[in-house]
Amino acid sequence: MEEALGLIAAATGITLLLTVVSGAIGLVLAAPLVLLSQSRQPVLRLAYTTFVHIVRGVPALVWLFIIFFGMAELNVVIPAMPAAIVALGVIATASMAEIYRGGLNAIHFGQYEAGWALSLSRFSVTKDIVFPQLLRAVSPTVATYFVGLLKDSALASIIGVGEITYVTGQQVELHGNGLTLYAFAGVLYLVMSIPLGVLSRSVHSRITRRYAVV
Amino acid sequence: MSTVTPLSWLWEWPHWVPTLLPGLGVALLLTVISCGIGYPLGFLLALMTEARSKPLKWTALVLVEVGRGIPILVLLFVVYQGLPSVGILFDALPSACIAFVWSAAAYSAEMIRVSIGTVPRGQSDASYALSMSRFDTYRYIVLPQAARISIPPLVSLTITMFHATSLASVITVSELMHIAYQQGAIYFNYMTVFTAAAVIYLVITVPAAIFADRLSKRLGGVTSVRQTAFRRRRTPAPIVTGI
Repeated sequence: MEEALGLIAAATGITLLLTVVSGAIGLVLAAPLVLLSQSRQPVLRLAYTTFVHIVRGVPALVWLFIIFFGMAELNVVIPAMPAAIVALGVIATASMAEIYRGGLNAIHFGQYEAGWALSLSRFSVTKDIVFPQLLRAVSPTVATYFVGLLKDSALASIIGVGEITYVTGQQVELHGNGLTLYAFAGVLYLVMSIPLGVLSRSVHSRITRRYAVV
Repeated sequence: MSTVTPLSWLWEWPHWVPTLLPGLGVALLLTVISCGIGYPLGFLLALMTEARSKPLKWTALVLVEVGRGIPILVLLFVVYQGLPSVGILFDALPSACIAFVWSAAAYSAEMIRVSIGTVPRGQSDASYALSMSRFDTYRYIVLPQAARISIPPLVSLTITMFHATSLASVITVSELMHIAYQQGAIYFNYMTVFTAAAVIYLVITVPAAIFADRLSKRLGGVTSVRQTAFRRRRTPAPIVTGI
């Protein structure tokens, strides 16, 4: 029993790795993506909307299966772990872009105008006026998204990535005791999401203190 | 199959749509059950977390936090593979219903609780000042305003729940993805079948998501002073993730 619990706890690393890597992919790639939504060209805005709707309109499980089983059929064999990272990363990119867009929309247009009225450059307006407010506006949502991603990473167990849920399933098949082992796995997820929440609150309050904008 | 060209899935997927449609029915049924039972339960849980009685409050908090903090996949396994170890056995479909109802209740409870909290304090103060009872204050003053605020996130949650039903395939509920996976395994045409499945999900979800966006734009600006002060721009519907 202790051995099973130990093995499950040891799989935490893989879960965290999946979460952090796919989350980081999303954080970075969403930035250029959200620029499309702010473009003056209707075609680019349409491209943005289409991409986001298609990626977020299909369940994560379907993306995972398309990348893992579907691509293999087209002779592009992707191992389970990278497949899971790609699937979660693409979904994270689209979702983060929507979060950024929400943040941009929350910034009053007067902020830009005031910046231009003071004859700040476009770059300076973006960097010194818009960006700090954007950071403050999106940080809680991004943290919530990371907690969500942590739970989404459980999907990777379905294609055989050895993270918490997968190892738990294995151990249940070996030893029985399903309720105890799955409850333990559940507690692990809960325990991991609590520090994320605390961290996000402290980051948010630090940003708010640094740039005191209401 | 040697006759399959790498790109054949691009035009062959429509053939599989009829095979998958019964699965869509099961997925929609699961969504209706989980939201139809889950949201009223979530409302009760939201009220319980505001209750004065400590045991009531803590029970609700634990149910909500566990439902939200644990991946729905793990919830499914707890019900389907975990409960049998203490002698409680459910079939796949009831198991899925229990896990999804729990999840929907927990998420909606949090959304409803937040919506109730968003109603300005002055509203209930004014109502108490008019010597309305606690019940009447909630029934006639707070809840109607909270309902308005909570509708857009609940619509988004419904879409997420619909997506989440795909997970029931893992415990052998024969919904859309379960049928798709079986067909793909038999004919080794995963790409074709999964494309068909993806299109079916899109056809349902995209209009729903656009509707949710509109709704949140229409309902969102009214109660919040902060938003009406801003230039009217499209505000995306809240994102519900990680079920």
